Amino acid sequence: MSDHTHNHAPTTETAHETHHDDAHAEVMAETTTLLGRTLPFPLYTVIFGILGILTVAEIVIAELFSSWVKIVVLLAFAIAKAALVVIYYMHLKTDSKIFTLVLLLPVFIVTISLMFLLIVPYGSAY
Amino acid sequence: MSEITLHESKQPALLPPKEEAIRNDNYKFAMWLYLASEVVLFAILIGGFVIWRVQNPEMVARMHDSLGVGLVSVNTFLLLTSSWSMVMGMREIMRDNVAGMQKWFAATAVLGVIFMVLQYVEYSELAHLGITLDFAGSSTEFAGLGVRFYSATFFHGIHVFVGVIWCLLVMRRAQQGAFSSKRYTGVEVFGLYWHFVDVVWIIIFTIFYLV
Repeated sequence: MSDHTHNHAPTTETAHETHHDDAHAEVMAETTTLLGRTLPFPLYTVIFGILGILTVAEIVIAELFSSWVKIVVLLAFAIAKAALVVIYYMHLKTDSKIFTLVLLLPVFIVTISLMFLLIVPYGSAY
Repeated sequence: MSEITLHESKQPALLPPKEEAIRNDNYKFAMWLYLASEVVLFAILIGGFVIWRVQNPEMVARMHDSLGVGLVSVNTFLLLTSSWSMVMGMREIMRDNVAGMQKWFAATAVLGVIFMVLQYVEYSELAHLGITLDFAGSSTEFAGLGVRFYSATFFHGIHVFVGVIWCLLVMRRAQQGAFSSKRYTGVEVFGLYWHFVDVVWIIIFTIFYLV
């Protein structure tokens, strides 16, 4: 999200520590660069703003439209919002990739299971 | 002679940076494993509603028309705001600002409490509409909806309640000097829980109230 410039000395730090420092600086910065524009808010506040805008858009779409397209769009919005919270607020962007795996594995399994259950005829004997 | 009172810290001593980082990652890994189990539990409850809802679209549409989205939208913004105040509080402890952290966390706890109060108001409205825990399968126009709706949303509500209690405990420990810019994993782990509760609500809001 933010692309602040930092002056590190890679010869004295490991790649992991440099990455951690960058993540820390991104969170602590008072401004955030989004789509080439510098916003006068911390990263967490910008994410909150995006979540708010997406939620308002969801409510408007739900109230105005009624086709199957609405369902697809609303689910896409919900997944986008959940992803923003998980990536930025829960720090999966910067934390160990094992944490991401621990989250995605059950999500993948339950999604496949749900899709299977949805195609099984309702009330079938097995 | 002046008296010196020593407060024995309940925290284990800080390890060298590398070992401390490993210990912190272990705490967070444990939390992620717990959250993975919660994913399965919530998936069962939400999935059960989805499968039933596909077969009963008119009943859910009637509930949406009767209930509206006003109250639940307010609740959604409350929870989103509480997630924001949580991370802003963590940002303060990363600056060694305990008072600032407690201020943001107090806001988080208050927003959580308001969420629960509004959920109670919503449940009252639903009960007036005849949406109840009809385990036996009553003959009302909303038969079968209540147990599926309440099991998921109430289970989530319990998580909010636990989160509020946990938030207060974190604030108390911060008051006792348990957290600093060098040690805030306890805050991070609570944050993981609270944001997970927010993520689950994002999904519930869309599937139960909007779609």
